[in-house]
Amino acid sequence: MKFFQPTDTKDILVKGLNVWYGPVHAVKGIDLNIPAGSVTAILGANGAGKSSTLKAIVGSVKYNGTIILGNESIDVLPVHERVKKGVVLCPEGRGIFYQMTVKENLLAGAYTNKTPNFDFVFDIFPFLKERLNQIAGTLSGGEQQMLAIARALMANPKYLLLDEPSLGLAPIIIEKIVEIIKRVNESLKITVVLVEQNTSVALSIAHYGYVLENGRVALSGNAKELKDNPVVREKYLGGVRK
Amino acid sequence: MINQILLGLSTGAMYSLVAIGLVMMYKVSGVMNFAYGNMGMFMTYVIWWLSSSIGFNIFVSIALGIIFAALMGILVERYGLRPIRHLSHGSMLIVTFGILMILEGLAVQLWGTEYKSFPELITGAPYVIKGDFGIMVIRRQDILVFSILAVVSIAIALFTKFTKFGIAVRAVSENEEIASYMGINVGSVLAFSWAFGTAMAALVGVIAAPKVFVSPTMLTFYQIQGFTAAVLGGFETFTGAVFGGLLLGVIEKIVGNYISEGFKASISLVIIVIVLVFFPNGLFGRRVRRRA
Amino acid sequence: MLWIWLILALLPFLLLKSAFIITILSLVGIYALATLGLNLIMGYSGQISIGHAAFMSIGAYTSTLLVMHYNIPVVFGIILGGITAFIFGILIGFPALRLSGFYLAIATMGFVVAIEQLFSYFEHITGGHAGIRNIPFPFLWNSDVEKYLLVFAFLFVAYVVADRLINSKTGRAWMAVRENEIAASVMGVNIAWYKVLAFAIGSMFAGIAGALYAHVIGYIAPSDFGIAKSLDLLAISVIGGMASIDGPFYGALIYVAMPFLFSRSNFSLSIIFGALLIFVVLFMPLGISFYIKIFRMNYFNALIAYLKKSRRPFGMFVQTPVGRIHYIKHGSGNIPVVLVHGNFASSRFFEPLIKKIPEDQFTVYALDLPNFGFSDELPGDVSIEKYVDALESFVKTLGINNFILLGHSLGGAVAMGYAVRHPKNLAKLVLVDPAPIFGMPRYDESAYKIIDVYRKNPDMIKRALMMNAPNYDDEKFFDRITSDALRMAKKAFIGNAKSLADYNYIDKAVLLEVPVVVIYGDKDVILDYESMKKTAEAFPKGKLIVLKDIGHSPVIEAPEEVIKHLTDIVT
Repeated sequence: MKFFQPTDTKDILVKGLNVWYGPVHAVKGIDLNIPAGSVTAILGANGAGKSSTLKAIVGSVKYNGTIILGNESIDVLPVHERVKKGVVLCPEGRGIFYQMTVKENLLAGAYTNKTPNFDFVFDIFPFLKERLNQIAGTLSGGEQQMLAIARALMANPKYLLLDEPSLGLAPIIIEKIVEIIKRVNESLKITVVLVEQNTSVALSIAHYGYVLENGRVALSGNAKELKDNPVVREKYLGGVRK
Repeated sequence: MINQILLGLSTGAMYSLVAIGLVMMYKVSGVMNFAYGNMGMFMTYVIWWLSSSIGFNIFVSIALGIIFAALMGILVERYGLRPIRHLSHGSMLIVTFGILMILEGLAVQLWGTEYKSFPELITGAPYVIKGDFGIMVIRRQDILVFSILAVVSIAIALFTKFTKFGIAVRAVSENEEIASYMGINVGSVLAFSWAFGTAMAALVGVIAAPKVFVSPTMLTFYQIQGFTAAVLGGFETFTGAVFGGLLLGVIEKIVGNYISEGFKASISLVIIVIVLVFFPNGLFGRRVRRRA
Repeated sequence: MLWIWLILALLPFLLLKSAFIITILSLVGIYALATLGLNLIMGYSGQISIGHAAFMSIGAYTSTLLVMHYNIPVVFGIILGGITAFIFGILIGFPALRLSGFYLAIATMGFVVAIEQLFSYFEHITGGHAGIRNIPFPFLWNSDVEKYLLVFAFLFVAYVVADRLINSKTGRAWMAVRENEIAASVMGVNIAWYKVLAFAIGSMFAGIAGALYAHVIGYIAPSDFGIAKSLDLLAISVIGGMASIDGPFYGALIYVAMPFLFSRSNFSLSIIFGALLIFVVLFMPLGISFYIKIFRMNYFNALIAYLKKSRRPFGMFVQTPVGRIHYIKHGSGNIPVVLVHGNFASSRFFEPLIKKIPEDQFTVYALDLPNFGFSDELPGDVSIEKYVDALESFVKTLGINNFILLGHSLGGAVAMGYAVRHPKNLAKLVLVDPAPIFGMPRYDESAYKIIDVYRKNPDMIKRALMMNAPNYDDEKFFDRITSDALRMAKKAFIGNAKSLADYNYIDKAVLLEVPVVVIYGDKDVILDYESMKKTAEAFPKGKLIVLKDIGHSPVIEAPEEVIKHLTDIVT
């Protein structure tokens, strides 16, 4: 598969990643290769270490191992410095600022962006334009998730890390979000890392996928291979038959 | 009566200023700073020392003192509290008690226990307004306090609503982890909140000093009233802090007319208990309902 | 612990001449008592109080006024002082319950200031700011000793009460509330009741302490029990150890002794005490009592470990190129068998097996691996390969050929290592719950550190050994093995565990033409069936035998079974 690669975007390489929470070994030596311009899905059951991997990439948990952007290790950088490098996490559970207005949420997202561009976010999420002064906590679940993605886009990311964007949403909203992720990837050339439990949704947009089990990479490959893999079909796609 | 209310509002404005500083630190860092009064007390000593011993102009001393106060806030937060942020808020609270004790000891050690007088920043005859409501007397000091409160409140409102860093401050106070995902340097926001809070403490010290004199325990009572005001306001919002303080000042004045001064602290205690029992979110507290 | 109390009770009689020291000790007791109450509030039920001195004040004034104006006996005055404080504790503790601990801190701060103001205000009763002087103490023989004994008696009762409470259902409920309020309420703990109870009992202790203070010192004033004293009490609690029952004693001792240590330097005590408070919170959050306990445990247990260590070799020695090796030999049959023990064991581990083995059929050699038992220590880092070297030298020196090699656990890994090096010299390889052929998983550094705790803890070793052999309960046997385990080289405790993650014989096993039996007890808590299956399958002539309801140590739990599998392939 060939991708259009913006000149300043590089692959993310994760080498020998280990994450501990006290005595709990959540991620046990993972290697990932996230090609620039791709949508890479990280799949697995609850507690497989997906979110921890994502948090390690963005730097909000302590980890052992190396995370390389292009050819430069970003291990020493704190979270906010990584955001400046274009690595932006859109947190799980619609982690928006509930007590702030939609506009303030977007402004918070644009914190590192010297020239915040509302228009391009409104272009993708037209409904936000009318809701600018609404308190974010009063939006519906799907709207909150979209606000979270919009807020992440305000930072002008090169890499958008999405943590469970479909969690707890109705299928029709999930479809919308899938559309948005595709669009973000294809027309904005943003590399997307998608952590999902909803394997069929994730594999429908991803180019590559990694399946984690108990903190280790159990399977990896491009999305089509994974979709056809009998183990994935059995365990994660609920035994879908052709 | 109207003059009583006015006097109450004037004292209340001081409580509001105390409460604003406490709320800023609490909202952002989650710590109730029990060393607040003593940080202000210590800096008032420093200002007094700068002007009386070193011989700086009083306003220069105040400016320097407030800058030192901000620096002290940053140092305390960075080296006393941040190392144990991950432990528990209880431990951080205990650290503020330790700072309280150290500063009190230090003040006694350096400057002794005798009261030092501090010049009024504004002097002059009070304004007298006559009308059908009677005679209203406004002291110049009251005007100073009111204007400082007004400036501080409006500045905070504008700052948190319209500036980038102000929005970052609110973001951190709502959710530290998510704020960091926005590229906000949480550490610098924490440092800011303590710098601001401690600067407020020094400001309060300076305004109160002419009346209560400079002494190791000069702000203890103001601190309790500041807490009471903040509790009245729900401890979460600046508006709550401002109105909580003003209300407390008026209550204190009116009740003080009927019963003795010796019951001042008891009144506050009763207010705290009543508010906590019947209005757990404060009188002006608002809860934003979250959708699940 | 009773002997400490006995010493404390007799102490004043040794110091009859120095009334001053007795008074100092009384003060330590008073502050320890008050802080014990604060520990119930802060350390055990997780609430923060900075108004504890107010309850001392209430107790002190109640008792003093009752004793002075109504001629009530001192002891009853003190008890009534405690009860009054208890009631105020309920009044203050109850409203603050509704919200987080911070609000209780604010309320208690308001309370302590209010009490100080009130007691100063009611001059005609309390004497105002000046306080009350010459509080009577009716003594019979020696007022200082009697005062001390009174303090001591109350302290002892309070200590016993606190100890009982903490180790009761109430104490467990407190700690559940402290750790997680929501979880505790889900478990059905009535949070409000338990929090108020802790607060009220803690306040009662403070009330008693305050009353004792009044009668021991003979003078009280409202400012004696202000916010400063409250913070001192909090500091005593934190420095001594909030969640401990002995912490208040250390904290109070430091607090009372400090003025004497610094009396010459004219340095403000609140600076030192405040700095100490911050230091403890930042660097030793569990307080002094925790370190004293650790110290006691380390040295006390190390002493026991030293005493329990085996001293007398029970077998023979042979000099080999890698050092002296201690071994036992048994039987006179013509089939030689070499037994290799596991971690935390020695050749003695095979005693039950050797007892059952047919003497006329086999000649059994069981050795202590180097770093274990009475064999010499190996230089450098521990590794399985080095143990294999040692086994190689041992076999060569004794000239054992064409033998059956049996390895258990760690010894299984060593046996595999030997087998792949000298397949020609073996008649058969028997692996009893061996470390897997591809090694054990590598753990985090901190996990290995825990293993080092065993070095000074015979009881833990014994329990671990017994847990790994659920079907064998001859305690004396485990005592002997524990004694041998204590002889392990210092570095081997962590070294052995790490070495188990650093080998992999899977590639070489394919070439092994010797019959291999892997025996696995299905109640093994260390190894899983999967890895045993893989181990057996790695050998061309491998066979897995699963023993039902047997743990990690079939050699002692089911020696007959193991012996059966020694013979069935040879014959």
